[in-house]
Amino acid sequence: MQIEAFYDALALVFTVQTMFWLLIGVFLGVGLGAIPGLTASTGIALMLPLSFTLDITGALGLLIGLYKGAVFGGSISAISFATPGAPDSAATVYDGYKLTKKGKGRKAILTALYSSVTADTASDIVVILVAPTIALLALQFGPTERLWLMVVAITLLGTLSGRHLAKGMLSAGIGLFLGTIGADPVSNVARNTFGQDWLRDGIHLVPLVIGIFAMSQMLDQGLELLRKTRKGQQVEKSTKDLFGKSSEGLTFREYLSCWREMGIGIGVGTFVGALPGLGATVAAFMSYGIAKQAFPEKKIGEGSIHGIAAAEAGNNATVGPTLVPLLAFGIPGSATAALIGAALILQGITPSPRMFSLHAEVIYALFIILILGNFANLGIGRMFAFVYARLGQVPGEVLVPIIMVMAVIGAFAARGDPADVYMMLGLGFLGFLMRRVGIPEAPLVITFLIAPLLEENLRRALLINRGDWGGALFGSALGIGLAGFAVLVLVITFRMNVGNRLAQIGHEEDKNGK
Amino acid sequence: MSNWWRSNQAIGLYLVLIIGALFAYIWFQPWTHRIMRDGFLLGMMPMMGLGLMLLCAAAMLADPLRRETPEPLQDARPSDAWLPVVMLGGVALCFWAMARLGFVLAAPPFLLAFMLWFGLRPVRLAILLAIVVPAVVFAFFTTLGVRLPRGVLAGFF
Repeated sequence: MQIEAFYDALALVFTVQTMFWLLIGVFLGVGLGAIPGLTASTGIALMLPLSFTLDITGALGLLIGLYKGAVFGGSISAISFATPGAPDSAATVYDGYKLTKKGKGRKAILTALYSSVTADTASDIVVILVAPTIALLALQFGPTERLWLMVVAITLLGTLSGRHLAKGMLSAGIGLFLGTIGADPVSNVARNTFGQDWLRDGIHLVPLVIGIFAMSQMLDQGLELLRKTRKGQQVEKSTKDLFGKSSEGLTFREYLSCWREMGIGIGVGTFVGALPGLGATVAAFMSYGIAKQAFPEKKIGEGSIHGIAAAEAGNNATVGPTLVPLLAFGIPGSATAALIGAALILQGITPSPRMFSLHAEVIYALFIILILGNFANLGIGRMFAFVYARLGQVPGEVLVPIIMVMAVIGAFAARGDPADVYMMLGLGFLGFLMRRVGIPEAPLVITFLIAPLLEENLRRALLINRGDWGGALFGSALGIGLAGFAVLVLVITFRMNVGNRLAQIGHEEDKNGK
Repeated sequence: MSNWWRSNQAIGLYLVLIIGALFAYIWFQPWTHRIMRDGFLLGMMPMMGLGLMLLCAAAMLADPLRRETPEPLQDARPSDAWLPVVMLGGVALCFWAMARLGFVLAAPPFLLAFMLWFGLRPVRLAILLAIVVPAVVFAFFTTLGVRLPRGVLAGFF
C-alpha cells in the first residue's frame, strides 16, 4: 500500500467540498430513484456536465453518491406504490407493497435501507480487496490480450444486456460505428465525418450519454403521457402511514434475522455486479429467487421483510463491483460504470490498471468515497425516505419538460457548443427508436467508449508484429484463450438462449407474485 | 401477417436496408481505403462497426425470435413516430430561443407549453411552475459557476 498516496487521498476526501457533493449526490440519488421512470443512468448522465466544475473527489462524490442513493431510492416507490423507481427494485414490490397494505410500510422501507447499506458496504470491501490484485495481473497484459479482453467485454455486454442476442450485439455495433466518427486515435486523420467539419472532433461523450439515456427516456415518457396510458397510482393515502409515528418500525432483532438473505444478496450481487452486462436487476431477482427457494418457511412473497432484504441486498451489492472491470482493466462493465469512467476521463484521468500507480491517490479516494457513500446513504435514507415517498407522486407532466430543459442545459454547458445540443437531440431520437424496438442502450455507450482503445491496441499489436495479423491477434496463449472465450460466450448464449432466460427470471417472479 | 411489419423480422429487414445503404456509402468514400503509415486501413474500424450491425440485422431475419413483436410496438400507432419528432422540434426551438433571448426568457414558455400539452392542470399551477422552475435552475447553475445563455438580458446579470 502506498501510504503517502493514502494520506493524500484522505486529505482530498475529507474536505467540506467533497463531503458536500457526496451528500448532495446521495440526496439527489435517493430522490431520483424514488421517482418512477428515472434511473441512476439518467441522473448521472444529467449530472456529468456539472461534475466538470468540481475537482476529482467532488465529482466522484457526486456521481458515486448519486448512484448509491438511486439504487436504494428505487425501493421507496416500489414499497409505497407498487411502482419500482427503476427495474432494479422490481423484486422489492412483491413483499414491500404487501407490507405497506398491512400498514407496515415503515418497517419495509427500513428493511430495504438497512439491507441495501449492509450489502453495499460488504461488496465495497470486496472491491477494495480484489480490484488492486486484478489490476496487477492486468498490467502484465500486452496489446493483444487487452484487445481480446475488450472483445470479451463487448461480447458479454451484447449477449447479456437483453433477451435478444442479435439486438444486444447490434447495439454494440452502433457504438463501435459512432466511436469511429472523427479523427482516428493514432494518426489523427479525419474519417467518417460525412463531409461535416464539425464532426472532425467526433461525437462528444456528454451529448451522447444525455441523448441516449435521458432524452430518449423523456421522449418515451412524454409519448406515454400523451397517450394517457399511465396507470393511476393505486394507494395515495398509504404514504400517510409511512409518516405516522404509530407505524411499526424495524427492531434490531428483525434486522439480524435477515442475515441469511442479506448474505445471499451480497454473494450474488458482488458476483453479478463484477460481470459485464448483467446488472442490478438480474442480481435482485436472482437473490430473491434463491432466498425464496432456500427458506420456504419465511413466506417470502407474502409480505415478508426477508424478501425485501434479499432483493435490496442483491441490487445494492452490485454498486461497488460494477467498477471492478473499469478500474482493473479500463473497460466499463455497465452503463453507470461507463458514466463514472467518463467523468474520470473528463477530469483528465484515463481508467486503466496503470491508474493504480499513476493516480494511486485517486483510487484510494474512490475507495474511501465508496465506503463513506454508504454512511451518507444510511443517514439521508433514514431521515428523508418517508419524505421521498411523496416524490413518487410528482406528476410526469411536470417532470418530463423540466428534465428536457435540464438535458439541453447539460449538453450545452459541457463545451458551450450549440452543435452538441442538436447532436444530443438526434441521439435522443436514436435512443427512443432503440427503446421502441427493444435494442438495449448500454452496449452502445460502452462500446462507444471502448472503440478508440480497441483500435489503438489492434494497431499497436500490428506494429509490434510488423503487420502480421496472425501474430497480432493470436500471438499469445492468453490472447487465444480470450478469443476462444469470446466465441464460446457467443455460442453458449445463442444455443442456450441465456439472455432470454435471464429476462424470464423477472417475468416468472412477476407471475408468482401475482 | 397484418402485424408482420412490427415483428423482429421486419425490423431486421428495415435495418438491413438502412445499414446496407450506409455501408455502400462508406465503402465508396476515398478515405475508407486509405492505407496509413502503420499499414492500417483508415476505414477498417467504421466498416467493422457497420459489418457487425449488418450481421446482427441479417440475423434478426432468421433467428428464433423473428416472429416476436417487441412489446412497445404491439400497440404502436402512427402518431408514435411523429409525436417524438414534434417534442424534439419543441426542445430545439427552445434552445434556439435560449441562444437569442436567454435561458430565463426562453425556458418558461417552453415549460408552460409542454406541461399543458402533457395535460397538467390547473393552468395556474402550470404557469407558476413555468416561472419558478427556470428561476431556480438559473440561480442554481449561476451559483455553481455554470454560465447559462443570457441573451438579451446579458446586461442585467
